[in-house]
Amino acid sequence: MSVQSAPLSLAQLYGEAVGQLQAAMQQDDSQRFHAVLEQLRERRSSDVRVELRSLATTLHDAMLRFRQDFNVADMAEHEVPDARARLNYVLQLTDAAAHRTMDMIEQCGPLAERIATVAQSLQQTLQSTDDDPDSVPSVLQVQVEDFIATAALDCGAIRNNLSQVMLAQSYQDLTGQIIRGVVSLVTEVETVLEKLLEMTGATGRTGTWRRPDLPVPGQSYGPAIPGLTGADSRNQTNIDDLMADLGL
Amino acid sequence: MGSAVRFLVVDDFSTMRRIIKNFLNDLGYNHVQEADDGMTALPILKSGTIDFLITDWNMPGMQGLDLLKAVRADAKISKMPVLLLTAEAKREQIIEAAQAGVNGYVIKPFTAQTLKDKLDKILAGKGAGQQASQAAG
Repeated sequence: MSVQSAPLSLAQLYGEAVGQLQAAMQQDDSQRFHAVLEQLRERRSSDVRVELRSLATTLHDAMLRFRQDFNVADMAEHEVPDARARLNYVLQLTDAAAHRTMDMIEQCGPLAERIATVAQSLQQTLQSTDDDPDSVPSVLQVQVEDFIATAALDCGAIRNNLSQVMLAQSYQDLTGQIIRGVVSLVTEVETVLEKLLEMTGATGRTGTWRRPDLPVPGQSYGPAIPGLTGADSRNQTNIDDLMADLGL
Repeated sequence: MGSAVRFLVVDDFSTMRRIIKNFLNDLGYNHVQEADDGMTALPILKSGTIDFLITDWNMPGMQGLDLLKAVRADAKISKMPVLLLTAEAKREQIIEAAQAGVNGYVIKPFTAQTLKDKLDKILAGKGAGQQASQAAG
């Protein structure tokens, strides 16, 4: 890197040459005049070349330092695609867990229904024997035995399904770890972008960028995130009020 | 219209389609078809086998709002009740959906009661509308 020195004035830079030009003009010495002009042109190109070389060196040094500080290539080639794959895996895991949970719940429905139906049938039998209490034990014996057997089986199946539902929630542990890893990568990318902004002389954080409000009609924003979309987050009551105002 | 109402549930997430379908079944609506975005939904709607559309907003391919507009633009199905069931909750979006002719707007996550209330309200309105048009005819 060259040592910074005070810039030369125009008189220091071009005073002598301009004097020579003036003298040649006064003497009407065309050859001399054009020779000085040519020297000036060459000097100017040479200055530009020196400046360009200096800029290129500065840029090269900065890029080298940047590359040493942040492994951008690795980030672009491996970490970002990995993060994408990891997030897709999160989608798969949550989808599978939701379906597994719903499978178990759907299976529980008919089991509970069957217990309720048999219980109702027992109740009807009891009611039908109200006039002849002595007949109750013999009439009910078979039904009660059936009910006990069925209820034990069904309750066992329901209990098993509830355990499966509980187990299906274990996806949260895995997805939590994966998402935490991706959050850490996003933080790293943010640091790299900030460094790039600094290198290019941009003001970085002071120029706060925000997503514009509906630049394209019909654009979707996804779920409102508490703390991020606060003022814009609307609950069903707000929406009902707004719809009512709109005559719906 | 009663339990004979034929629903089309459009959402890109199969879990959400399944939740809505189960919920409709619990309410006694057993005719429920599914589609995963507007592009696949539109031909089903145009086939004339659907009475009621429940759609998400944010989907790949054709979004819910565009599907709503396409329904309103097609004379054969333009009167179909449409319920938007979505996480999109910006005021501008709700107004845009209302202007496009949505019949109801339910925000995710939703409760079973909210969805039932909105369905009942829309179906009651449609029933009244049908009776009025039959009386006029």
